[in-house]
Amino acid sequence: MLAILNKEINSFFSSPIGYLVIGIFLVVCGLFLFVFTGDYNILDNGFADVKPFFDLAPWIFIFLIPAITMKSFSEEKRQGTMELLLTRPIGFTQLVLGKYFGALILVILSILPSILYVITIHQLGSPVGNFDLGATLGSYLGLIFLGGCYTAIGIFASSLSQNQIIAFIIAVFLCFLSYFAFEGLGDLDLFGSTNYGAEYLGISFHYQSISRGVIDTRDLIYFLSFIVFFLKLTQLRLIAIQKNS
Amino acid sequence: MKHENTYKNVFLWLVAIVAINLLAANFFERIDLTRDQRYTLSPAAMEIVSDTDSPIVIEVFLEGNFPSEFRRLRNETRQMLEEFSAYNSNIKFTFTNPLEESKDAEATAQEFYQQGMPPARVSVQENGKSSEALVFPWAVATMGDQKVQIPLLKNKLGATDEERVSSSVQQLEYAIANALNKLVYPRKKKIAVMRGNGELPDAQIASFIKTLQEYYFMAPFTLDSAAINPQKTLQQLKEYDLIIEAKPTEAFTENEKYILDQYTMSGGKSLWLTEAVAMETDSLLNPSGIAFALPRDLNLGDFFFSYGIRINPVLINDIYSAPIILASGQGNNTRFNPYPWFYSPLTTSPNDHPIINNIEAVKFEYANQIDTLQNNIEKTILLSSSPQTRVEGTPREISLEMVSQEPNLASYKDGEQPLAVLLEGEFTSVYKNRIKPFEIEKPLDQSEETKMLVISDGDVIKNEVQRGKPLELGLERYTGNTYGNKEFLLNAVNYMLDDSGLIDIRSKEINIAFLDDRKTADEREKWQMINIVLPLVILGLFAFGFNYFRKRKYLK
Repeated sequence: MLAILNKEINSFFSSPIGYLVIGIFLVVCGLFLFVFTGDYNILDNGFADVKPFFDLAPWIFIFLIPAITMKSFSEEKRQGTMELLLTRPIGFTQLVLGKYFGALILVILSILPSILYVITIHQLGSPVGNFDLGATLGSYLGLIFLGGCYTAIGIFASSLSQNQIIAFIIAVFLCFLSYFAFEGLGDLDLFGSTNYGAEYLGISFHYQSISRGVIDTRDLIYFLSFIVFFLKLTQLRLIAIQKNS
Repeated sequence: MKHENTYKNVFLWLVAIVAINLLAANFFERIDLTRDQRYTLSPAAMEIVSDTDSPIVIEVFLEGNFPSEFRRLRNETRQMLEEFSAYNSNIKFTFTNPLEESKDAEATAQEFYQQGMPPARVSVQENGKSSEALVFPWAVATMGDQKVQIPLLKNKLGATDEERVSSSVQQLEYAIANALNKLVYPRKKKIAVMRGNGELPDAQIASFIKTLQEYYFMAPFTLDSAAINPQKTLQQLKEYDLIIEAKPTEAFTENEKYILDQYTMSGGKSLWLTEAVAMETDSLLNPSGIAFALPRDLNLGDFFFSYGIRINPVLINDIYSAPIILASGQGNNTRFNPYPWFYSPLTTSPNDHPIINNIEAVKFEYANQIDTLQNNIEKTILLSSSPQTRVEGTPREISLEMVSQEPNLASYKDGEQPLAVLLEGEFTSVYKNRIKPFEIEKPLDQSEETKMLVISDGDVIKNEVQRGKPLELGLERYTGNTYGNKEFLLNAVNYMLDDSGLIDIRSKEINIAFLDDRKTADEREKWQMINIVLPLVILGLFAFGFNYFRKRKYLK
């Protein structure tokens, strides 16, 4: 598993695409949070918290994470190295986990520079340092779990096709669906006043709950089961591929 | 065959995961990481929530497009409601935008206004243009056929929108818990509104009495029978948990005083709004604009003295005060203009006692100074005049001319004067070691633990009356200002009647961190550069380092 993980990270950072993806993410975040006027502008908002970053991140992650994960299996398939991998004595679970954690570490690396935003808030607070560290930590935890869910989707999407573009599009679509669609369903008010049922299935409900700084075991279990489910799907998909070949 | 197996496998996993999540929904643990524990319900609120066993639906009208401060309020409201419903699934909530369904914003606003839920007008800055938007910072909680309105926005005098939202967020938990409290617990305690000593007429205290009726049983009570059958009057009075004396103007007889004293000795609580100077703004509205402020003896001197306070027959003249509204011009040209009027102190609190924590300034009119004396009763000064106060003796002439005179600031050197004092402890009877006005079976010389609040101005409880209808207490008709009078008195009554820990929730502090405006404006470009360029520099350094080490590894 570690070998796979290592290989993933290495290959990502040895190609310019990796830097491009992360670079664009950082520039977009910086522009939205500090330059463009709008809902996300921290300086105009007047509140000493980095909440806008955590509101914005799910949107950007929808594109960023599929871009990171799109080639994990597609590339192997296209290059014909898939059979090689599958015949290695590492097992499907190890293979999937290696690919998954490799991608997840890249996601976490890409949000690392956002600590600068926290430092900014810390410096500009009135008085200096007046911001809620606990809530911010909760937000980061939420963001990592959100990244975890998207990455699981991305890995799964990548196992579906040998075409990276198709894998990317499927992943974007699934991420979007699992984050926003259920909330939209909730707003439709299908089930009377209890619009909770549908909302509960979506990621955004749990992400928002944890990112305000409240760690609820229900949210954690939701995230973990979401990730496990998609990784299991990927594993089953790989088994199916092997049997077909 | 192969595929069938895969689908079956997927399905089984899905079922297992749903089962785990359903199970988890019943056994959960929450950790609140926030600095001020704002998402942790206080014990009092939890108690109310756990006693809620029939469905309660809360409809919040705070939805739509509005400035970031109000979005903040909406989000905080949602989060607070989530917190409530996380503990008890009987509590459900919805957010609706009142302006979405109807085209006519003004008609909707009017409708809300008539239901006692006035909308707030806020100015919205968009693309450099400023426009006005309507916000409905209200919610309605419904249980069965009972409805309770929840105000989500507090009006704080002279505060910016940011500060208003900040103090509103702070009391959200209270606002919601308070509404649930009204729905869940039936009224129990009884309050007597005292009559028979020239107190304020019903219409002038209607606003406050109506508010209290949502929590307590209210009844008028007269001491007139004290002269004929004092024993029975005392027995009847003892059935009440609290009495309100709203600005008595006729002196109390010894019998009446003894009844009130023994009522206190038996643990009864009392709210005294009483003053030692007779003076009304109405008296000034004569052609000469002159009236005389005269000492008024209510024969309560020894009464309060033995409990440890003295209300002096002097007037408080305070630079920090509410304006007086005077009409000028005639007929259609009549204008109502505010003038500074130093006899209406806007009082602030010298401490953070739960009764006055986070409330607006309380408006007094012709208040008197209260002296606190040394005895075993614990005295808390809840409200006092500003440091720029002058104490004026009576009798004296008060003239409307004063509005046009510059105050001589050098003469305002008497400092803060107590205007509302809370007494707590075991009271000693006024009639201890004295001849009793009448005989009772078991005269008490020492009370059990009880509370008494003395306010040296009856006008604090007085609401304005417009066309025979009482206005909201604290609302000033011509300026539209709202003062904290109602909240102050309600907090005081809740506090004295130890009410369901609502006070605890009310006094919970929530810090909202703001950015330093000036620093943010001054250093804007600097931080923009840091946050856009520096991450890229870090990424570049990482790229360089990564590739450097990789090359070295391959070279070896």
